[in-house]
Amino acid sequence: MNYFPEEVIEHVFNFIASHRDRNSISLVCKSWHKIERFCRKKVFIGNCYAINPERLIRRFPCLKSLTLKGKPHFADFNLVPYEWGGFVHPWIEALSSSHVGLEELRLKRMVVTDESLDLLSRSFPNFKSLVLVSCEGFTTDGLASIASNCRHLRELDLQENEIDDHRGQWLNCFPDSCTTLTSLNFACLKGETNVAALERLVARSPNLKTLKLNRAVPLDALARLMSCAPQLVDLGVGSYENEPDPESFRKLMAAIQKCSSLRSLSGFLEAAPLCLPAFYPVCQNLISLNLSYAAEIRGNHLIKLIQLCKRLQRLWILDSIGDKGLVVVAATCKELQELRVFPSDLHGEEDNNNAAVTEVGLVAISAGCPKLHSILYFCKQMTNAALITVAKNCPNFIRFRLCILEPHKPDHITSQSLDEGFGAIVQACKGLRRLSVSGLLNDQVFLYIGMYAEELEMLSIAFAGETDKGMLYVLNGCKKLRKLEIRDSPFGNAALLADVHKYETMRSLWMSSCEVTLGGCKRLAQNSPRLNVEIINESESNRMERNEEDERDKVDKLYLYRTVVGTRKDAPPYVRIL
Amino acid sequence: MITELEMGKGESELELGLGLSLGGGTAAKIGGKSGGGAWGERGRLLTAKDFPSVGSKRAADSASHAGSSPPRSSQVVGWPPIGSHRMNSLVNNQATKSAREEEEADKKKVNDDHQPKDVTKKVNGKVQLGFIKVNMDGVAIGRKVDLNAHSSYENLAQTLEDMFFRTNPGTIGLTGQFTKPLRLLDGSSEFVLTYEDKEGDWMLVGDVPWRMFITSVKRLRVMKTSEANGLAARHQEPKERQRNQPA
Repeated sequence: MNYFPEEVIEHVFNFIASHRDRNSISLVCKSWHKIERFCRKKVFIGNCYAINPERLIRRFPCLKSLTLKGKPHFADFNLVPYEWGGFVHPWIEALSSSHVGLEELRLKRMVVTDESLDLLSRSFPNFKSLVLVSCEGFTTDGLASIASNCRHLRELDLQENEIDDHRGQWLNCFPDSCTTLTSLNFACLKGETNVAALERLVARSPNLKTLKLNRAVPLDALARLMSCAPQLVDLGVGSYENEPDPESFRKLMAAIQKCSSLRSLSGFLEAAPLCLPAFYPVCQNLISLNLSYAAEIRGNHLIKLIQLCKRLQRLWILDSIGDKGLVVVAATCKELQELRVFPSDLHGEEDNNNAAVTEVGLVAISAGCPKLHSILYFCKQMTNAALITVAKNCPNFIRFRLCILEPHKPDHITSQSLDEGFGAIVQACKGLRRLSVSGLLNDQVFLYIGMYAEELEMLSIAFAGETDKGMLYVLNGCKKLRKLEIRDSPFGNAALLADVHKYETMRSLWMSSCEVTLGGCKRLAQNSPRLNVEIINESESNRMERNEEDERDKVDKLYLYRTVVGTRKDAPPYVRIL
Repeated sequence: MITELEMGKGESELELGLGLSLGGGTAAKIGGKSGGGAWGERGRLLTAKDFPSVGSKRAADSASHAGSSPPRSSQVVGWPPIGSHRMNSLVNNQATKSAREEEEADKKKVNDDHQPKDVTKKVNGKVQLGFIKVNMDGVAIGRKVDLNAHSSYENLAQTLEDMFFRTNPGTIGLTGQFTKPLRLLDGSSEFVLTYEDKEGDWMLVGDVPWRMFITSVKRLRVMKTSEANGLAARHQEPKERQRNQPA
């Protein structure tokens, strides 16, 4: 390859999009490293504290798209206190004062402020795409800045963010000249929406393919919106009334029938099932259906809808579908690749057997859907026999996340632990990259994981294991492990300290409510300049009363990650970086 | 329900009880308190059903392997692992459903002449609840509290007092009586509870019915009484306050 001029090599490199492949290319030789860095357009940073913006910009001056992830995964479940970190502002500031022509920014679990959004909107004239997932710290005023100032905006995608809704007129802020929108998702906004402004915006966006509405957009508005956007591919429905009048319903049906390109349906945030028939005409084309927020849609209404969706590849649903409903899915959706079943009733009070899913549903799906490769399944009970059957039926799992709602729950028929069941899964699914385990588990399951899960990159453990051996099996065995997150499991210093160098091959380790002590963490940090070892203690008051710290004190939360830029400076007082 | 809370139960730890009509449980937690390794030792919210046997809850937790009264998954911090956005939505749905069911039950009792009881009903009957921020004067780090998990001002005040004023669980003297917690609601402590409403105004907590309050509250602030000007009606003189303090 070195016989070719640089331009040719660069041209070849431009066909390679995956950031992992790009990283590999850059390691081949100095010449390739240099060529690659000047032509890299998209950069992915899995942990915003592993590197800093200045070094990023120095290495990739021509970058156009940046993906940043901030807080650890368990922040989603309120395990990481507020103000922990993950602030995007320094990144935007640094990019703004450089010559980077940023066009796309994708953030996950970061703290974003209105100030940041405003700076972003003013700094990059070609800015096209903003995707915010599970972020917080901003309001609709920030959205107004984006709408007003980003002249070439194509994509504004807000997924599950905590946004203070000031009920301002951010939708009105899109100038009349803005006609470039291809994707608009504001489903997570809780406040009122200026429906008229929205309709005008949609009407002047002929390229709009994705539109996801929030609760505040009612049925009649939906019909009008769909009439002026028959080219929609991905629709998130807002709210439905309980009993639409026949005229509204007729208009909606007419509008939907024109949407021959519709492939993905979601939302139904406040939906009454009576309106579902309006969507029947498009069901046969759907490849993705997300009803996981639609608490009202269940029973026969749901079944009828699903029976029409023969081409479905992705289904997100609530467990109110029941085992019976999953049997229907298994019979109908032969193309299914990804299934997520979320809990609908957290109180566990309902004795209604139809209202939850069990191992029966899981087995049915595994038997009926040969292409299934990703599953997230919340259920009340499980058995080893079922898991062994699932493993036999579906050796192609890439992601297998099983969450049995009650911690430590054993096989409900044999009362044994579920080690053998999960063991069967990892043994059969040679391509498994992500695994979450639950239920009653000893160390044995981790022995299996260490032995068989060769491709495993992310492992989530909760309320499992017996001794340090469990964690050691995993650390020693899973060569490709990148993220390990553990809570409420009896792993301690011996496991933590056995192989400190391992952590430099991983992105991060999280351990909360385990047996690791302050002393152990200190020893870990001493020998590891390229690791940040963070201890998060929320109840500082207890510790401040005591003058000495006891090294035998157990640590509430430990989060460690590899980094090339040392200790971060923006940690709050209750985060101690060793 | 309130009386039960105040009387206490002579246990070693103050446990919060919920008098919810939402099906007897709580889906969410206020925030993690530091605890030991065992997950069962955290501060947690109990359901109304647990109240009679709450003394044995601890035993039940440590005996979870033995299978006696299995601890509900909803009582552990961050469990089940559902994203907070989804969790809020779930809890809202259940609250709305219960609110609607209650409304319908109320409607049957009410004549056309009377006002409907539920003054908080919005146009399409939805009730927006969920976690809201709580800040306290002098404390840098805020907390979040789940309004859905409370049924009254007393409940809420109790929770906040636990969050901000307790380093240890409420202690009991040898006589078996509680040391009285600071009272945020009656103006007898040096702090007062305020909230920001939907219009951005800061108001004193407690003036309006609970149901109306939860639909209009955006965030809470535990404010020093000395800073809360204009609340003369509930503010007592320092000397009076001392006299009223429990022994």
